[in-house]
Amino acid sequence: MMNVLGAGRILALAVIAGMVAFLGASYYFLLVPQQQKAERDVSKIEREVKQREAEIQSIREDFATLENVQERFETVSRFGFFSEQRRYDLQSAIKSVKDLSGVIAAQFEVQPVKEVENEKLQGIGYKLIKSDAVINVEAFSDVEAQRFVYYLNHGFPGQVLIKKMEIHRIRDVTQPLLRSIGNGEEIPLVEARIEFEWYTITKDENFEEGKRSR
Amino acid sequence: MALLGSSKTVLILTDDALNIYQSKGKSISFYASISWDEDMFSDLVRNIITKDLGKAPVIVLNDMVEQHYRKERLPKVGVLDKSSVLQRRLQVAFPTYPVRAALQSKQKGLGANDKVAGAANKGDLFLFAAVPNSEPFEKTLAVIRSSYVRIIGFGLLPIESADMVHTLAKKLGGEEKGKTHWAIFVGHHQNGGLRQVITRNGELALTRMTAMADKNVDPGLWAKEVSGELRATMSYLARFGYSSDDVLDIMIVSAPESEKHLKAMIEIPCRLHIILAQEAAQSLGIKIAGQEDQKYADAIHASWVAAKNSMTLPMRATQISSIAKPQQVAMLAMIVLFVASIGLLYLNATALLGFMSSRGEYSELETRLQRVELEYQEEVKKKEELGLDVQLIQYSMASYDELQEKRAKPLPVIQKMIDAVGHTVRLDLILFEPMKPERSLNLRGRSRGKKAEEEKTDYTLTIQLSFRPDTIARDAVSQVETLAEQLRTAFTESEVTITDQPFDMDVSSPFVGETEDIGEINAAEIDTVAKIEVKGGLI
Repeated sequence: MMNVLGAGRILALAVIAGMVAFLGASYYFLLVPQQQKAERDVSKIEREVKQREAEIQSIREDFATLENVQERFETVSRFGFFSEQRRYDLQSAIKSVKDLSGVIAAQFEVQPVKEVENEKLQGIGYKLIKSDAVINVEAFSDVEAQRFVYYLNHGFPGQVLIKKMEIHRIRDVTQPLLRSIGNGEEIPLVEARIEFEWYTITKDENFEEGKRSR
Repeated sequence: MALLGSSKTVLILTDDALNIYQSKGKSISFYASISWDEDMFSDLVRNIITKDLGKAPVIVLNDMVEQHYRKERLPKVGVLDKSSVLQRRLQVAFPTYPVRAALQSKQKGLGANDKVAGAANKGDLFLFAAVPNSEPFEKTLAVIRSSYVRIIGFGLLPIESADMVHTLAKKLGGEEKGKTHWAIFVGHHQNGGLRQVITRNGELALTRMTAMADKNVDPGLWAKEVSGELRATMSYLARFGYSSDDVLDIMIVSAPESEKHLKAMIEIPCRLHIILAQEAAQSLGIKIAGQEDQKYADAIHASWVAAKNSMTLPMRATQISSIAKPQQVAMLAMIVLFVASIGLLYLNATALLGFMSSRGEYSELETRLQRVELEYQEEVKKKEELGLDVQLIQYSMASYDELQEKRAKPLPVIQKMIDAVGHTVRLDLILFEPMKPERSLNLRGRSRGKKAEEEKTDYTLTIQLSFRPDTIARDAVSQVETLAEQLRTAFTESEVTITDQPFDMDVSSPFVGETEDIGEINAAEIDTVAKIEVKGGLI
């Protein structure tokens, strides 16, 4: 073969074959992977840009809507919507309601706090909690009992959802009873039973700030 | 095989020497003539074709006296067998000549074996050609082999020039349709021989090579010698089927001074064209450079063959194949590799451009991201400066509003009931129950897909009142019904039902009583309780 083709031609063949091999290798092992990586990088940074732009948009929208809700939020916060539902706070709140309404006595029973599923609040490190509660009230009349419910609805921290309310007369008005009342005895004529759910929002102590959704 | 490339070397093997021509495009020039007896023949030729002529691809033409031709008609065989039959017939025709080939004829003329085969044999007609394995041939191939130049092909000059003769005849004499066209090209070659190529309708019919007395002979004598050879040729031509009705063009390449002698001496009825070598070349669209003596015609043949796209009849021989085949394979490999490298270069360039474009895009996006990031940080800073957790405000207020929407409002309902029944009615029990207190607070607003009826019955208000046992039952029932009616009037969109009538007046309950005075019955056994239920929508 060498005798016929000559060293020059064989060298030329070898050079061009080497060039083909080099070009093939550079294409398949260098440029294609590099190009694919570059395209992936572009897609990634594109996503990041879009995400940041969406976040900016979201913040701006937040600002726009904030003006409407901020005042209400402050009011709601002031009225105790952000509360851990500590029991002594509850006791104090029920006492206030009792005093305001003028009922004779208010006996309550509160179940342990439960967390209510709320993804949005959970995503920012807060949770919605509730306690099931029952209050038995003794009053002179149904008017005081109703007033108690009114203050429970409007003067109690957080949100109260009444599940059941029952007012029933426990005594008939008699002359001796009127005399006793006249003498200053606090004798209830009406008894009310109010079952309700008490909702507040509290901070999730186990939440990691880095996981906060945007 | 395509004769690609602009520069070629044409080697014409004559009986005395090897003539070397350099072809560039359509121009040709005589370069050297090296005698076969030259001591340094190989070195000289090698030097010329490798150094002086730049290793241009080589075409080898045999212009020696000893060339053998024969027309043969093959028996009618299948396409698959045709090649092997042809090779066999070729071998039988020229058993001692290893350099041989066959050219299929387009004419319907008679072959040498036609009379033997008879009318039944209607196979294709072939022109068989062969040359002996001579020393000049061996020497030439050895030089080519040792020079490593590419050999384009090896052919016989008369066969390769037959189409040239026909073309030139048409150009000079024109064409008469329907008539057999004979053309005789007479050219004096530099080695001293007079080559006559005779074609019939463009195909080689006959060729003659005769030695001329002297190169520098007197024009008159030269013309006499040429006309004598022509007459001899004409005597052969009749055997090849020439008749006086046929068209005959005789073209003689001659020096200007011989023209008048030739015209005077040639008495053959024909269209006679006595032309200079340069004129012949011009008519053929080729150019002969550096030739002073216009009577030599060998450069015309060389130039014509060099300018052709492919040889008419490339001769086959082991010696040629052993050089040409590896070169062809190498050439093919070179072409394939070249095309592949171009393709890969394109792919590389495309990928590189794509990569660079992506990098450019990435840089732009990076800048944009930095800008957006800055903008974002500014917004976040603004937000932080406000000291508010916007999301907390939004989400907590959304939850608050949801709860607010779910909240049952018993007091307006009770107040409405009291207003309806009046303050004088003595109620034992007021019971208010929202119907769906357990509804999920995760859902915004009311549960979807509920029936309209269910949507209206979000609470139940039950009132209970009792009558003294001595109350007349009819009066009590009437009073209860009046109350219910009053409630219906007040709660127009609600359903008011007396669920319990006093004194067992309810037709759906058992009734116990006496026809006598009611006081006789144990008061404790008498049911004096009435219940009215209001099922209504949200206030």
